[in-house]
Amino acid sequence: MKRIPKLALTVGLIAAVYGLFVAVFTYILHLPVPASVMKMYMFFVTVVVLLVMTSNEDSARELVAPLEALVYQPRLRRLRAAVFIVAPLAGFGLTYNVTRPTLDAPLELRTVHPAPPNSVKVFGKTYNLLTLENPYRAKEKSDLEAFRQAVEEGKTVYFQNCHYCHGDKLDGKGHFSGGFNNPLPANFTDVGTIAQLQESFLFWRIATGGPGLPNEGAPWASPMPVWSNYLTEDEIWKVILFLYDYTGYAPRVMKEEKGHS
Amino acid sequence: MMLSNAPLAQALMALFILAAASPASAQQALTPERAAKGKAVYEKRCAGCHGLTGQGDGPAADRLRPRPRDFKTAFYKFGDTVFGKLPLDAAIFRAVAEGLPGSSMPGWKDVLREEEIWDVVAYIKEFSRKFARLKERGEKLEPLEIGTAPKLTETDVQEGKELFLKNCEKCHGKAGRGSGPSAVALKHDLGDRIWPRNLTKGWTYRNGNSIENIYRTAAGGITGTPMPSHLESLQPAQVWKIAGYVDTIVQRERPKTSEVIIGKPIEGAPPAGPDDARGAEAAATLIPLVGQIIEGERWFTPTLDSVQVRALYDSKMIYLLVEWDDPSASPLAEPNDKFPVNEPDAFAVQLPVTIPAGMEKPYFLGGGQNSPVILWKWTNGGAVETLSSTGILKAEPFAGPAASALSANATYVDGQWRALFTRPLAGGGDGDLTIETGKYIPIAFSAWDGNNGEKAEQRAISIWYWLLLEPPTPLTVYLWPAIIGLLIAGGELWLVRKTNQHAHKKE
Ligand code: HEC
Ligand code: HEC
Ligand code: HEC
Repeated sequence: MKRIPKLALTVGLIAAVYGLFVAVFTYILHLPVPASVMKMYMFFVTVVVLLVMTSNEDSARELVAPLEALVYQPRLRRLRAAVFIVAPLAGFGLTYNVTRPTLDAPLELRTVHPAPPNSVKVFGKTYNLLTLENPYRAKEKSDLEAFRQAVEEGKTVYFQNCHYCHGDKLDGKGHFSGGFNNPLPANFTDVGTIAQLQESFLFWRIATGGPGLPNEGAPWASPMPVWSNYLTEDEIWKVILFLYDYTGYAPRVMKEEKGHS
Repeated sequence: MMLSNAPLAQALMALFILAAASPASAQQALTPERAAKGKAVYEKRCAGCHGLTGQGDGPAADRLRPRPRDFKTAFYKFGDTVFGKLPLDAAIFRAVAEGLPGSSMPGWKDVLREEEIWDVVAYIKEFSRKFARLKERGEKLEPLEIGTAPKLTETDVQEGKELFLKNCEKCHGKAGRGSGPSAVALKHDLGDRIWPRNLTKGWTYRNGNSIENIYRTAAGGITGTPMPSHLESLQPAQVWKIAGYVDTIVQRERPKTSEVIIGKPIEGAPPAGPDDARGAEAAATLIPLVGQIIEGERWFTPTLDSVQVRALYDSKMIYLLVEWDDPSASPLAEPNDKFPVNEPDAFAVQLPVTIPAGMEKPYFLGGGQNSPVILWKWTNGGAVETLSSTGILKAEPFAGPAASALSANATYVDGQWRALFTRPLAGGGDGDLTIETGKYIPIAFSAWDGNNGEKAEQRAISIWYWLLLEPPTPLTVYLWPAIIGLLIAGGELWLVRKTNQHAHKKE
């Protein structure tokens, strides 16, 4: 059996690792391949493969032999001419691709769930967010009828005020979400929003809206209204009940939180 | 309980047998059991808009236009039957599954199974006695015949255009943008104000925008609205020609929105006005507009849904060309007595006072207490002004020493406003923006449809976008690639020489 030429082996190995990365991202992680991470990985992979391939003088010579041949073998004259013309052009093209002015929007990173403050001042009161609880939550066990009534009232609040953005399916796709699309209205059916949050966090976010966010949350960009301007404290607690009731999620509770930290 | 109502039960039985016997496989038997199952789905998913009693009066209803359908009167708009008739079950199913684009009615097939959709269709039909009565009389609904679209020649389409101008223009307007003379005075049969569709925006058609769909709407009309059936006055062949013409003016897909409005450098004569062909040299960006439902008196029912923006600049000035469809140029010369509101149309461009260095910007809605913005505001029949604003409720005439000279020139043609804002790049002084090339500048827009009663904070708004005046490409962009290319070529020559020497030595 003929041995695979060293050069082909090197190129093949690097290509195989690249293919593996792409496959893992697309088929297993279901994520877009992050270009910068990929560049870094591939740089290391290339270095390692080259190190291995040139570990002793013989194999190093074997590796560059075909390249040497390309430069001086008379029978490779045509190929040589082609490579010598294409290589500088490729260098030009690849560099231009980097220096070329791109007119894409600047990258803006915003923290979706910034750390809440310890307390919040609204409705002329100060609420301690560490201990704040939904006054209706206990009724779920003690007085189911009153609880259902509160959920129903929360639904009315939601359909009068929130569904334009957050959607009547609570999926963040209300009929105004096409205009308020950066940041997008939260999708409450997603496991990444209310399912992870405490009711006190929601109270803070709903009462103070976009402008109540700390700077890392980009308060200037969020169209989420300041609901203390339009709703009562009672209505906010009820609409929170509705969000959990409709989606079937349970709010995260304080005890669990304490246990974690 | 249901079965004690004998005629209804009979009717439903008849319906059951009919439906079961019908060869259309998708057609489901809408039994009372089905309807009973549909109740739970309805109360969870639909009642917020359509109301618990199905009368289109859920908590959201007063803030939606068009209003959610009232299932009791059963004026279904898209029933696949002719004007005034009840809808086919399959048409109701389609509306529920696919939704009605351009309205707040979403499609439900992503959260409801097909079975559940049939259940809820059975349930909403029970809100109206009309379906049962139809059965009692033993009548069957006649679907509107569409057949297949005939091949249309250019002459046919031309003829279609003339027929359109005769039959449709009074509502839909000359260019189909919904700006006909009757457009400002149309009412739904249940009393709400409604507007004719802007036929150029295919993505807002409720019932599909293929040529067959257009034929079906034009032929059958839209029950409960002033849009009549055209089958009494026209031959089907003529309606096909009209549909063929509408087919040439409809843009089916909504254009993609870009976050950056790229301003083109121009040389020579600047655009003289909003209709100057030079405007078209810059690429257009379509920016969505939605109701201002965040501060002050909220505005849930805007008529304007987007604005198209282009930017040009030369060494001294910036030219911002904005175009938006509006069903009327208000204030109207003769206000109509059905809807006497008659505020002026207006448009505003919002910019920061200084170009932000980092990520932080002024609050997108009219700026904030410590982060003012400026507005360039044009009002139909009024002044063009620069305003300082520290909040949407706090816009005042420019506060600094002097705002840079702003002018705006607008025309209204067949349902479309086009306005050209012109201003020196240099700001007038303290608190006025100086526009620099190559910098990303936050920009946002507001539009008011006066005939819809919009004024002050009650308006259509956008979030922040970016304005970027494309800088002339610097030489370094080519320099580095050239250096790299030459280095590679040099390296090659060196290699060749080196190897040749090597070969010589060996010999
Ligand atoms: C004008 C559009 C708009 C309306 C109306 C609106 N929201 Fe929001 N909301 C947003 C946007 C956009 C976000 C995401 C950005 C942010 O976190 O501020 C958001 C975020 C939220 C969050 C935070 C979710 C999370 O995961 O951190 C909650 C809770 C919320 N909204 C509740 C409500 C409630 C309740 C109402 C009605 C009383 C409402 N919103 C009305 C636009 C809106
Ligand atoms: C966010 C509000 C909203 C919700 C929730 C909603 N609808 Fe609608 N629906 C509307 C509006 C608004 C219209 C009228 C649209 C128009 O006239 O163009 C409508 C129209 C309809 C129509 C009439 C179609 C026709 O041909 O006239 C049907 C049927 C319908 N909805 C069924 C449902 C069902 C079933 C549900 C629940 C699964 C539902 N809707 C949930 C807002 C809603
Ligand atoms: C008396 C006024 C009037 C006339 C005349 C009229 N229309 Fe309309 N048209 C309307 C109104 C109002 C609507 C919007 C109805 C609604 O959904 O509320 C409409 C909607 C439409 C739609 C959109 C349907 C959809 O799926 O959303 C089409 C297409 C249309 N008309 C075509 C025509 C054509 C073609 C003609 C001439 C043959 C015509 N119309 C004549 C008033 C009119």
